[in-house]
Amino acid sequence: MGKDVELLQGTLNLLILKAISLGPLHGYAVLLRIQQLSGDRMEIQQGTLYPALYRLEHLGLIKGQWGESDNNRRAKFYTLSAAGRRQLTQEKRRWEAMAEVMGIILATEKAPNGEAL
Amino acid sequence: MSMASRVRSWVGSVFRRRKLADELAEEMHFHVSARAADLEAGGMAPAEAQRRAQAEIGSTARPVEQYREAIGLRLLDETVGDVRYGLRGLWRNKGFAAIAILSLSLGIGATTAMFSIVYAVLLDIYPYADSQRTVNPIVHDPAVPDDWNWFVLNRSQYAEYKSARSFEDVFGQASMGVQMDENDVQEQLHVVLLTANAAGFNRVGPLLGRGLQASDGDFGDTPPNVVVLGYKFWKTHYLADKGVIGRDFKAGSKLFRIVGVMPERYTLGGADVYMPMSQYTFPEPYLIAFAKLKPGVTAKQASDEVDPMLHLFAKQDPRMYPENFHARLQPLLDGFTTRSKVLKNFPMLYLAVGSLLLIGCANCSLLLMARGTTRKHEFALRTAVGASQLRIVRQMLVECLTIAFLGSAIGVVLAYVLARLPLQLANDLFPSEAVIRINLPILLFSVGLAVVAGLLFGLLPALKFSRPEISQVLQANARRTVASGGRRPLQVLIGVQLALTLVLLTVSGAAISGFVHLMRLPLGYQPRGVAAISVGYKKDVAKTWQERLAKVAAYRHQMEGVRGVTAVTTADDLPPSGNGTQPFEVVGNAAMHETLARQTDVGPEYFRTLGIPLLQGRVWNAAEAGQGLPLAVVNEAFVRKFSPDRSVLDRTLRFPKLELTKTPEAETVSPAWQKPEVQVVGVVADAVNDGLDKPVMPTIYVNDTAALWPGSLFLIRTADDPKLFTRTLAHAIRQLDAGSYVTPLPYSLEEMVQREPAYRTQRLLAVLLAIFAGLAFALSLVGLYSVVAYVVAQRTAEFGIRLALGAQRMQILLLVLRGNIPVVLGGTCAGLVLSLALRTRFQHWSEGSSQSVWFLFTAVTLLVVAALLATWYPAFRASRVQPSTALRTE
Repeated sequence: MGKDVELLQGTLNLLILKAISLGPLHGYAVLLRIQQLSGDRMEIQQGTLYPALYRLEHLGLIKGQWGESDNNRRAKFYTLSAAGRRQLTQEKRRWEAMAEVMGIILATEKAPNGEAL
Repeated sequence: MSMASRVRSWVGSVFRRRKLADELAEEMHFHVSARAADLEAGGMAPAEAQRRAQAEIGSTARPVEQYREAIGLRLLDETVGDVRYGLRGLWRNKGFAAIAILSLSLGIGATTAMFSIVYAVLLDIYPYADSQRTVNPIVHDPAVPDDWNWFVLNRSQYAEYKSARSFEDVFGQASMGVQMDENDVQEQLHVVLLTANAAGFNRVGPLLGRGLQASDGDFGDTPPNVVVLGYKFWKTHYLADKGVIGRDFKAGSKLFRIVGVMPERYTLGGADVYMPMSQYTFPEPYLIAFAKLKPGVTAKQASDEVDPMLHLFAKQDPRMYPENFHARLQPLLDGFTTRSKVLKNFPMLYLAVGSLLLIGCANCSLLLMARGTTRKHEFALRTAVGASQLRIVRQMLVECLTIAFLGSAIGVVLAYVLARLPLQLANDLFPSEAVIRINLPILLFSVGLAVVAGLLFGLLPALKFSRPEISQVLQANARRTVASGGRRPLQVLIGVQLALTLVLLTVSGAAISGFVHLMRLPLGYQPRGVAAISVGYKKDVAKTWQERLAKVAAYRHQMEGVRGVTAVTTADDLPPSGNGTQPFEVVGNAAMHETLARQTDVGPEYFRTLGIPLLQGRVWNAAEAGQGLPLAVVNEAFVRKFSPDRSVLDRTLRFPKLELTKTPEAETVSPAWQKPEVQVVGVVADAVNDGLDKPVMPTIYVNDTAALWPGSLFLIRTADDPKLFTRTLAHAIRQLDAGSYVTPLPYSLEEMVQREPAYRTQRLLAVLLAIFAGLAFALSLVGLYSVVAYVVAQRTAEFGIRLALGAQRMQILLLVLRGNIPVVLGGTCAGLVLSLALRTRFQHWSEGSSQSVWFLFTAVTLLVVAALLATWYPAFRASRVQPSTALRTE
């Protein structure tokens, strides 16, 4: 498994919300989904996943419900709540703004006379 | 993000713990098996896949803990753990914990209780609303600075007075005597009449039924025939019968209905019964007007405002006012002189209260510090295994708070118990029905101080030792040789404690000697062994002066016949307080025009019965009493004030306001008394007659057979406890005269002295301060003892080594003592200096007493000896230790 992208601090919540926004998932599936969406370039530490889920549920952003898994076992499925959906949109927007700014800053190159453009 | 979901998960984590744990475990389990299945699908052996999946999620995965941490309960969990750890620690050191907690709770409890008592008894005396803003109507004559001249107002003056801008409200009170006809017995009732607004002014609810109310009418209104009983009257005349409401009440040939009974603390005007002003039967009432100042207005400002008004009134009624005067409205509370005396010393009481609290806190702090110092090793160990400084400090914080709050909780309970104790132990110690409530501000203050002190001194060692040189401390523990340093704060605290205790001991000593002084105050008469009995009869039984004279003589003769009775006399008031004053003039001395003196009517045996010595002239004899001659003796104070230069003997005194024929059907005047004049035949020594704390009033003792009422008050001297005789005496009178009405007074003359406000206040102060000092003494000794014992216990190993190396036991003993003697002596010296500095203030407490010096000496000796004993005992025990045992104590 490739691990060439490190998880940035504070992005796990956004990733979980995004993963769940595509459909109800149990904990393990969240892990797999993020991995899959990243094209196997990102791996989530399994130990950090559950505290993040508990916290999101505590904040009312996701909702856990017990259901049946593919292999007919009882599993807890998480869905996005209305608040979670709002949060996802906001976070996404913030992330995009941030990425844009970062992009601009990082794309700045040294001008021939030695001053920034 | 909704609050609801957070609350749900917090509540779930508390109340559905088991279910939550199961669910979290199941989720984890599902994850592991799903992962294992994936790994297996990738070609791994099932067992290996299972192991790997488990390892990936983390072998230490504790779902519940993680969950609680995720939802923000980590701090709570750790704190609960700290509390549990703290409680376990306290439980292991039961003695330490008990003393620390007890010290705090005694400090808090005693302080709060005592302050509440003092507040109730000395500060919050009157039950009337806003009594601190209410002023007595008094004018001041600069020539007689100590006299208060109460002024009265007629109706129009009252209306004008009431409209003064300084006053929020004014109510008027008038009084009259009414004949009561009940059970065939005649009695003069003291009736106080109140204006319609009095109830709204004072706002004191009735004990039974209703009080007077506005609808009962003012002067001139049609009076409803209602009467409200005073508490004392209700107790003596109706034996506190609760069914008295609605009954008839015959007084002054009118029929009234009893509508209520006032509570014990309501003693306005000292009335037997209260009636509305509409009942006033004389043409024009003269009112005593009590005024409530507007908030922010001082008595001085109000006096200045009404002064011109009163001078106008004085022109209308010149006889009511002194010639020269100015208005000096006096706050109601200042009228209670013993109280103002106590208030003057109130800082001392605060000092005593504060000292006790500080000693309690210091005790607790001492123990916390001593314990903290010995926990260096524990702190080091915890630091070594990764505890942060913050974590250790926080844990100590929790422990200290646990002690502080346990102490406070017990202290609150103690305060409630202790505040009631004095009332239960000695009910007669208190003025009237003192309502003792726990004073909330002082309770909060004490608890706050206790908590702050606990934190401060508990945290000191934690802050100091939570970053120790780990290796050094851990090694040092193997051979804990020399006592740890840093004992200076401990020693300072012990010193402060001892100093405060000494101050408290001296303060209480001063109060006690003040009380002793009051007890030994020469009264001028001998109250011991004297009882008082009032005997009355229906006025028709003996109508003429001769018949009444015969009755009095018969009663007296009957009582003298009782075995054990040594003297019997008639009197019309009871020392140490007395009746009002009477204007008089010395005939033939124009300069002595209308001066006031106390006038009291007594039988010739009065002076022998009370043991008042005759100084000049003579007392009228039995034969002269039998003729009802208008003779009198005066006291020394009278001579000093009115006739210092020439003999008063054989001079004639006239009472210009006395009307000899005013109430012929009640009072019969002797044939020998034609003019309102008496002749002075002797001078007797002074006897206290205006309360214990005031000088003896000039008094004219008049032969009481000159005018006779249908009934007399008898004072009986007996050879034993006079109260044992009252039944026999009452029985003897009834045998002689079945129609008589006999009322033994509830208190002997000696008890009357003890019921004096000055006496009771001083005794209360002495008792309270003695309790304070005793508690402080015990607390600081226990504190000293336990700290020395604790420190010595920590040094057991050291002593073992010293002994093993050949030290003598005496040397060990001296080693411990040497460390503590300077502290004991230093603390005592500081206390001594403080006491001496404050001595000028104690002097009010022990007027005219030289005992405080001796008491200071005794207190110092007692404290030093006790403190040295408290240090010596643990040291002695340490010196007896077996070296082998000591070395094994690690």
